[in-house]
Amino acid sequence: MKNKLIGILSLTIVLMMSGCKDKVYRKYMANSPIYTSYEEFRNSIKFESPHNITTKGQIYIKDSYLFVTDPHKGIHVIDNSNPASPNNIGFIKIIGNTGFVIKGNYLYANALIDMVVIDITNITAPKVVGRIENIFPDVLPLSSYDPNYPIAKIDSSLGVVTAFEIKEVTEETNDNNNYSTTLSNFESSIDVVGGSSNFQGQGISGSITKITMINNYVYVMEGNHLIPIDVSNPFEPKSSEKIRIWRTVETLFAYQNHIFMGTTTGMLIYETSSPNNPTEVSVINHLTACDPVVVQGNYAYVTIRSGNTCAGVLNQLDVVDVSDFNNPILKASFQFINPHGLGIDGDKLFICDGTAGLKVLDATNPLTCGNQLIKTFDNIQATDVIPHNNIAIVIGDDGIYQYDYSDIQNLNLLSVINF
Amino acid sequence: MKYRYIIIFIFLTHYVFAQRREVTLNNGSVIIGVVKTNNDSIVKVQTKDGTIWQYSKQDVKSIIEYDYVTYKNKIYSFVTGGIMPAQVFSSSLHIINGYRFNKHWQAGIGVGTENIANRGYLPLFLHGQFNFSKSASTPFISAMAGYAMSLSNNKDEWGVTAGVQIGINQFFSDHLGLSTSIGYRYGYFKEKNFNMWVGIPLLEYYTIREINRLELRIGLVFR
Repeated sequence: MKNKLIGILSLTIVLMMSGCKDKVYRKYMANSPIYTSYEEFRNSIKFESPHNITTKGQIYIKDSYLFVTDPHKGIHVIDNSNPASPNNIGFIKIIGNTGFVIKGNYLYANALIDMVVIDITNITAPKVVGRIENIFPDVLPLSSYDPNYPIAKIDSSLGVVTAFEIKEVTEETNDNNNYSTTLSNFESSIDVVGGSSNFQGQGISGSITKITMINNYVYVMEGNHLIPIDVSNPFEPKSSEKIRIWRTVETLFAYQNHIFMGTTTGMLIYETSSPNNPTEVSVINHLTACDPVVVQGNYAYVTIRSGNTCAGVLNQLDVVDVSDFNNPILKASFQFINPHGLGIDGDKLFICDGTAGLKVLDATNPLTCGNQLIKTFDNIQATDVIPHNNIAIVIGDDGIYQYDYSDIQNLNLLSVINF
Repeated sequence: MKYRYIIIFIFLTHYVFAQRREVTLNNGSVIIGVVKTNNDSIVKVQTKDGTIWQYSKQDVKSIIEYDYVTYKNKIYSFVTGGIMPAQVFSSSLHIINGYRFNKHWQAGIGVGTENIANRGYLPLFLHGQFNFSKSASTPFISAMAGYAMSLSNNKDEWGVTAGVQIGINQFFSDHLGLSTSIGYRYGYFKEKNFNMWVGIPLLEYYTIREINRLELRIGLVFR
């Protein structure tokens, strides 16, 4: 009897233990995600009283308004009908926003994982009228990300990651022998710093951008993918299939139904005859560096700079003949100190040359513009500029400066919005 | 599945071993051996040297199971090998030295070597056992718990482990027996590592393994 009991007990243990499994955990300090419920996140867009600008972002002008992105937080709305006395009238809170474009009365902006369409007919009462949910599923809020630590595992069922906090995390893993983790999705994150376009009805932005618009399509760079979004019906925006770009794209600039992409290794030109499927038509290569681009007439102006995140050794302005989009030809290069954003208005080319200040060039003859320095303003250390209607809106590390350049030899400081 | 057959086979082997008896005569003599015949008239007992002794039934006072467990030497040793099946198979060798307090209870200190998830550990543990009977073939239940020292160069690697077993000790003689058992083993193993993420400075992290394993053991008992 006793032996039978032991036998039965043994078999029971065998059967029970067949379900047992080892568990392996990793415990480490990490960027631990802070979640916001999807409902709260998607109801968070609202107009608030004026905020102080804390971080420089995209600058954008539309009609008499100046819009300034406070990366990952939202958009400051400034009544700029009198550039000498800009009036900060409010803040459109958009969690995770880094860039936007405006056409007509609609503002198209990224909001972390979503793309939203906001009716700004009444600028103080913006209304979300369209949304593509989860179009950027891998985007993370890098504003609170500490690059000294990896990102902990993300469980999207808990909500949207709207921030990170550094703390010790314990994660179960299937890896029983070797530990490996990645900065999950880091490379896919949008880091839009501006928006650009110069099409009818649209606003004007600086040159440093990863979101742009051509006719009824908004184009957004998400990591290494270009996403066309059909906004012909702003109430029902539709995204198309992502297009893999085999380079690191830093800026987008739309010109004559073409998208000019400033990449770290060259300038790409995509045509948009099929707006939902732009195709590459040409490329001009250069050594690794950062390179915003603007286009006017038959020429593209490309500033190429080195730096911490840009690598490379080049610091120059390239002038590229793009009269034939299929066959761009580098016509001239000019040395600069550390050129960042640039803008062109007629025959005046503005270059933000890092610590060397803001330089204004005469671009009457594009092929010699680099040698036609009109004026250097040493005291203006800017990263991007919008020259428009004799007003240069310049953004630097500490504020937004507006200059009257009707007398190009004497830029007249009209106003400063400090950060 | 094949492990189940192995276990069943090991347990069945215990039944084929002969059972020793303690035959007490009316004159006070005690003969220890295997009872070959036991009927109304005679009792035949074969002692360890092979001699068969025959007694009249009337001269036999009692026949009881030989008390292997309370053998006069209270010190015992186990040497057992074990396996803990899992995705990464683990092996184990234990040496336990202990003391028998009475016919049911014994306790000892063990040391060994184990391979857990391709890492070597030296377990130091306490071992306790309860024997259900005093016969040559006694079922038992045992428990162990202790600290596992890493055999690697990583000084920040250690573990704790504990387990329970049920099994059978089959003694062939007063000095030697076979022990087979099956049970459950839990282990918590922690190690400190460093890793380099792209663009991130050297970062320390801990790997924690919790094992929940079926454990099969077979070995020898010395005393």
